[in-house]
Amino acid sequence: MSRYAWITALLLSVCAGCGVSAFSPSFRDNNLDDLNGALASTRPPADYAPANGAAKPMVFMVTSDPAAIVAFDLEGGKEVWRAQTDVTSKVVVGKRQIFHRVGKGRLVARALSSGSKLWEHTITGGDRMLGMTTDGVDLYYVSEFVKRAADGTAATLVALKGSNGGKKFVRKSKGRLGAPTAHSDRLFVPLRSQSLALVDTRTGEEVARIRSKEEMLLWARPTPAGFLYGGKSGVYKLNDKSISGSKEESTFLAATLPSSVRPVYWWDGYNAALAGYTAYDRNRLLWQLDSKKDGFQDDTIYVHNYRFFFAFDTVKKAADGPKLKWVYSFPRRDVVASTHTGKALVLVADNGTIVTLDPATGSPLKQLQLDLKVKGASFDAQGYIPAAGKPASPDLRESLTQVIWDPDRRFGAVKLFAVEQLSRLPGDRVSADLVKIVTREGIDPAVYKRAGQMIVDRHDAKAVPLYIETLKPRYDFLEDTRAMAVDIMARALGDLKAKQAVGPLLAHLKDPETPISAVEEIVKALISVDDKSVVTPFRDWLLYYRADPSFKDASLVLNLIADGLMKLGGEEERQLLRFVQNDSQTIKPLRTYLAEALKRSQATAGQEGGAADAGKKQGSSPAAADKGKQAGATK
Amino acid sequence: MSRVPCSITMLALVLLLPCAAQAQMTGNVEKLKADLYGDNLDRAVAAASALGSLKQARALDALMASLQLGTPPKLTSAVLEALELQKSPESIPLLDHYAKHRRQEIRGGALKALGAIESKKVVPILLDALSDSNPMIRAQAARILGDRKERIAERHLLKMMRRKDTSAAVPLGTVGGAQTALNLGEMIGDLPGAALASALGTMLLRKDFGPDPLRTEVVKALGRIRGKEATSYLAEYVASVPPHERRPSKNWAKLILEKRKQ
Repeated sequence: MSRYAWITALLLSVCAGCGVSAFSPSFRDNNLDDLNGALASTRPPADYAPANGAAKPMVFMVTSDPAAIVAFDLEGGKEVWRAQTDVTSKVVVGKRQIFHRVGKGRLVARALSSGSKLWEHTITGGDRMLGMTTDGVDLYYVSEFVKRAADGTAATLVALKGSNGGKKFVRKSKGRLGAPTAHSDRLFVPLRSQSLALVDTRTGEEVARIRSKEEMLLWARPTPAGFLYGGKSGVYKLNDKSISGSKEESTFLAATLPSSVRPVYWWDGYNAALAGYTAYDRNRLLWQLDSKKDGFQDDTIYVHNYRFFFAFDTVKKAADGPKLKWVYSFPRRDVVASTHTGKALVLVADNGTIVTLDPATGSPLKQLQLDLKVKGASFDAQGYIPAAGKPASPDLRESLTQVIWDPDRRFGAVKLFAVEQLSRLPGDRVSADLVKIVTREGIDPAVYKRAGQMIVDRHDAKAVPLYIETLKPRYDFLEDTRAMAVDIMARALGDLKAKQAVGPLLAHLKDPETPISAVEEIVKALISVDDKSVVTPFRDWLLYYRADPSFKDASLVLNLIADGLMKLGGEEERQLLRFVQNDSQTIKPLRTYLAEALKRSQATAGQEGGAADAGKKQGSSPAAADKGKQAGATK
Repeated sequence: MSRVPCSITMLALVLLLPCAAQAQMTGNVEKLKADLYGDNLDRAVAAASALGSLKQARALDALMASLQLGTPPKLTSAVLEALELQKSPESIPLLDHYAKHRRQEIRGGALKALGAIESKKVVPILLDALSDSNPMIRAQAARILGDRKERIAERHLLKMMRRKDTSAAVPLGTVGGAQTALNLGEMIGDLPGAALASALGTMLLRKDFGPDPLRTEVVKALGRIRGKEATSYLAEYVASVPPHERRPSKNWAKLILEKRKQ
């Protein structure tokens, strides 16, 4: 080769690297011509339909003990095949093959019809695989180096021929790549955190790039509503508005969710762990977009939280958050995989139960029990809905109580949420449900507290007899009974100013088993009820414990009782309080409090007419103490 | 506890007790009342003790008034001890209040004082105390009811046993009748053998317990209980029956004891 030919070849290769090679930092982004060109030959899926060649709705369950893949036909309700293998990734479904990883670095292709192994490939181009995808025929994966390679490569996109596992193309990237998504002749690859590269599946060349100026782009998803992509905050539709790089100017959708919900719209393509089945599969959002308008399908988004599913209205709002449409809880076991097929929700539990739910009501349409130990599952079931009559809608109140009564202690936050939702429902039975929660032995303290607050906040006057009934049990060793939720009942009854509660509350006030925190609530409630019959029990309580040093750190209750006597009592009670304040045996915090309180009270009385002058003089003199003692002695 | 506060307390008692004793001797209730209501806690405690031994209405009034006004726990306990000496039914309503005090030792003091009063009015209060959360209070109430031979407590004490509170065993043995004996026999295996042996053994040793066929059943029940408690109750029973008296229950007891020796 001549000297000039060498120079020309070198220049050509340098130019290609600068301007057009895939994942190049200098590739132009947010260009409408590039985007239109990239999408000209590629349409999103026309309708919800399985990707496999037989167009059967399938689920591929990865099991442990024994480690296997179980291919299951959802429509036929039968196992198609079972292959013993230790799968370490999600199963990817093509037209005639399925693909999965085995061990740390081998990819396996199996015949979709029989499960028999077709070929194997050793993962190249990085230390770990971030994810794989198929366009139906060929397989594409991204692997990345934990530490950048010597030539600067951070990650690699590898395309394999579906027929034999031979390499189709390899594209190196000096920037990070995320898990790819393939549809038709396009690959969508998250790139350098903020971008999404569109790559031609035939050549491996990048044909367009979208870059967000506001957030990380983590995933892409082809649906009948369009090509979708996004990060953690919501969903973008890929269209000519996408070149703006902003939420405001793009077609962007996000649902309002309760603060306790982690908004995982789709799997984070940069998280290598998510190439396999993880807890993320059990705690995420399920949704489809409406193909006719910019919004979520049926105006609903679904929260999958382990064994619980909550459907929220994405349009209508409740007073202080999203409107809850329905709740479903799978009994006792965790749901390890779920999908929205576009027409139904399909769930796979860890015991091999497959449940199909009506997305409108949450009622189960079909249930299959396979008795498997399922680690995770991949669906190829778009458009699937079982042929079944529509069952009646489950009662939301009952569904929420099922969540609350779940014995698993892991779900404290979910239970708190369910308690709040329950308390918002109308109807007499809700107060009874809440009372049942707070009187449950061994209830989570946070749930107890929240349910108690909800009882108080409901101001349900119709529930007064129930609250009084709840106060009836007292501690009794012989009968093996104990008082429950006395503090909450006291707060609720005090709030409702229920006169009929005075007797039961006084009984608990006198009971030595009543915790001091509950005594405080009882005293507050009795003061709030404003019934003079509490004056004598208050006097007794104050006198019995005024000199008890164990109240030095809990003098609030004594202070409250003193306040009650000032509010509800007459001159005799004031005289008593002066005695208590002056007597050296009274604990110091109470004396200090009474000195201030009596001063304030006298000042108020003075302003209101000054009729209490005599009492004021009496109270400040040591003689008052003696008089008080005489008063006490003649009691 | 350090020695210095101990010494100070002892010194205070040495100085104060003669005053109280002198006041007591002279019957100076007014002086003792002044001390009881005074600011000096040790002097008040001594005065309470002195007033307790004075069988005068004024002494009782002073003690009760001090409880009504509220006193530090140490003085409250002393006043309750004094009321125990007074044994006055007048103090029952007040002691009833203190039997529900938040402090366990004060509840115990009130029960002791109530137990000393010969009045049926104290029985419901003592029965209530069998339901207390504190096992010491329950044991104390059970003991008092047993000592008083309150037959009405039988059902409550049996419940206590069923709830595995074995402090009811001896009191139950003291007040229990035929049905209780049979019930206890059915609890063998469910409750500790020592407790059941105490209850049944105490019954067996009672002069008023019988007739002999019932005693024989109790002996047989004791025979089914392993352990030295049952053996020693059987031996005590055999020894308690006069040698010339022929009782089948005694013969059964002897037989069981001989078998146990083997």
